[in-house]
Amino acid sequence: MPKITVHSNNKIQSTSYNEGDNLLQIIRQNEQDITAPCGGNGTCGKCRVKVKGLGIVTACTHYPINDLEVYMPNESENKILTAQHEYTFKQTPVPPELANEVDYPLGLAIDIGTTTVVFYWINYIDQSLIKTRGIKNPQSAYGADVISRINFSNSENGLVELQNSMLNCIQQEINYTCNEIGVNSDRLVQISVSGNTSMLHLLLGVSPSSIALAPYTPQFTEAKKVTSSELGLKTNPQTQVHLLPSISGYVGSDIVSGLASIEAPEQIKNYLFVDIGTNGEMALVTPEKIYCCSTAAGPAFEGANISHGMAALDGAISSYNKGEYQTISDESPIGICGSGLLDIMAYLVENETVSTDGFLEENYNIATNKIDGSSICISPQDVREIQLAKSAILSGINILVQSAGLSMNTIDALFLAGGFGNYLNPESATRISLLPPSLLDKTIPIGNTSGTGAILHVKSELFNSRLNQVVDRCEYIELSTHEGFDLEFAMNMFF
Amino acid sequence: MNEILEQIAICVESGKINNASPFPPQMKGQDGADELTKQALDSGITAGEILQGGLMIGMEKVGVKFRENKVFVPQVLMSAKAMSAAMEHLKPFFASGEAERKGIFIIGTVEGDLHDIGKNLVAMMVEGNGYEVIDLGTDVKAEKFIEEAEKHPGSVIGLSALLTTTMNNMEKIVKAIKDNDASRKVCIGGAPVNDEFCQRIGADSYNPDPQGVVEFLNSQAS
Ligand code: B12
Ligand code: FES
Repeated sequence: MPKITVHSNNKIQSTSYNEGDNLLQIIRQNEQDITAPCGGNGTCGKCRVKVKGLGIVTACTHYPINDLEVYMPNESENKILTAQHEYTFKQTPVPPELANEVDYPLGLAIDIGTTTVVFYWINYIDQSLIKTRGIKNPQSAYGADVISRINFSNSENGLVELQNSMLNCIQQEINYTCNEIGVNSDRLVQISVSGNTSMLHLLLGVSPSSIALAPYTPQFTEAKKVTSSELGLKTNPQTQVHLLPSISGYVGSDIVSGLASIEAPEQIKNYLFVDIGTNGEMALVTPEKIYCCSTAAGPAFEGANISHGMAALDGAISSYNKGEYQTISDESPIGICGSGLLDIMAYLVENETVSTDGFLEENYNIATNKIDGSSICISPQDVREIQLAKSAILSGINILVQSAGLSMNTIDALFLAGGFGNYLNPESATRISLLPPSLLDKTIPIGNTSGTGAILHVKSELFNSRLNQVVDRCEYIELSTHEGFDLEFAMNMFF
Repeated sequence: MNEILEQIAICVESGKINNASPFPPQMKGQDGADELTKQALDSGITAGEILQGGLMIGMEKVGVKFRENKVFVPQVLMSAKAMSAAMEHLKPFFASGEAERKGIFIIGTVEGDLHDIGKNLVAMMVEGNGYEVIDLGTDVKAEKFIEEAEKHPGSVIGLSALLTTTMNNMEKIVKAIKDNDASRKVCIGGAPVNDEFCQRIGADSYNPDPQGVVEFLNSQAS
């Protein structure tokens, strides 16, 4: 069998590989971190690695036959949002019974996002948060978005492989942290998990196939409770793993948990809750009801489909103003991340380089990549991609407000959940009407609410009833069949 | 060329539906495709002439501008709506056989998929270019396409898919259509679809934009 040598973050590792596999598969088998946004379809071009003697190749379409040496791109720690927010719901702590049986009981809240997984460790003795850690979702190697992962789960052994990759990552975290604080892992007495509906299916090893096909019905939305031993996790065998309840295939427990985690001050009666991401989930909370939907904006704000787009890693242009840019960690620029993209668009619309209908004459240069001298620019097609993504979000918001029979001026606050919502500049977002311009002064970033909700669930059994209230009050608006979505969507493409 | 036909073409190109429509702002208060088509018919111009000398000219211009990235979805949608408003007046003439169309195009979004914005644009562009379009809607199974095609000999089928998961269904549907009648022409499209996929699944034509389908249909018709 031929041999592969992988150089990654100054480590070198050699193994043999099966001829006939593509390089993406080989690298995955070596348990190396590799991103494959399109799931190995050869269409996104983001799985590039350097092969000695050949230069840069697209891993998923490269079928090596001889011994080879591969250089992985140096991965800088992704900035993952872990903060809690100031509108957090206040409750009486009610720890699980098992907590009384061990000396130093710990709880673990996990927020499984499509892109990142965040772990929060809670000490039951004083209810304090002792440790937070965010990592890239190991399933990213199987595709960036939910649909690509579901596709992979349909392949032979795909479901098991995806489930194991998540369970391994949880087990590693448990071992690592227990080791670090110097306790035995049987101190861990409860795990509460929030995440989107597909991630929860994959965690339990339940096929999410039906979520990807109309009418997009999940196998379950209700809360689930299993023991860690049933999942094969090595902790206290009686540790309960709780999966928080979801609403539909595309409005998951991350949203339910986020909504339940918020206790808005009295003067805020009607508020919007928006998580700007690939799936663009959002809700409108009124004193009587909650309206929610998912708008499928696509990954443009995460850098995919944008010619020089990239995730929020070192060297990404993350803010821009009148020709001046800033990059993450002040490194020399190599691409543009979502928040930078919004600033650049707002600037181009403001100075009319891009017309209100989205026409850009030619590539607009932003910066020069110092490594290879190439231009980091915005192309006319990039503007079109941004129009689709931003219009999906704005259309969703408008339809929620219309469905509740309200008008935008009766909305008291717009809470922005999630990483991107935290880093974006609200002025730019409203300037390009990704968010309703009239809500600029009412926009409040509140961080990772899904994680906050999972923490509240670890801390108190009472949080279950709050979660159930959210589910009961929720009316899910199906946009696929919503009369008038197309016109709304088309018209919101204007800047 | 006749002045009123020229005006109809301009209305279609710029998306002016009728007098009341505020879009595009610079044509506010003017008659749109709706009124002008009626006036043209009243003045004795035939439905065929309006289609060829007005609608098709306007539609082609938008199609080309869209392909060149000069206009985007909202403008094309408005153009298509202007075209549909005009078409309402012409339909009776096609139904009675007084005027003829170039062929029949059957379109639908494949089983498992509910995305229809792109498909609707394609349907309207093809219609505006002189074809009769039968739109089967979304989440359409192979049998439905075959059943409809059998009713219309010589018709061409168009399939749309926006999800990487439903691309698999597209493959199944193409196979079923070809098994039923190998000479039936099938064109495919949608964001995740490409030429390579088209060849692999044995469809006849892939096009990234509506203008491409129109050209394919024209090449078949001539
Ligand atoms: C609008 C939209 C929706 C709308 C659809 C409304 C409707 N009635 O169609 C709504 C919000 C309902 C929706 C829902 C879903 N969506 Co959606 N959606 C989009 C979005 C934002 C734009 C698609 C679009 O309309 N483009 C504009 C049209 C004009 O372009 P087009 O369809 O490509 O068509 C053009 C060409 O392809 C071609 N063409 C199209 N058909 C045909 C046919 C032929 C024969 C030919 C020749 C040419 C051709 O011509 C057209 C004009 O040029 C994209 C993301 C994006 N940024 O692109 C996601 C996207 C397509 N959706 C996606 C998904 C997954 C969904 C959901 C299944 C799940 C979700 N994430 O919410 C849900 C359905 C579940 C639910 N209950 O909500 C994914 C697909 C991912 C993948 N890997 O497959 C995308 C890419 C977003 C993402 N990355 O998550 N979506
Ligand atoms: S091109 Fe290889 S994963 Fe997308």
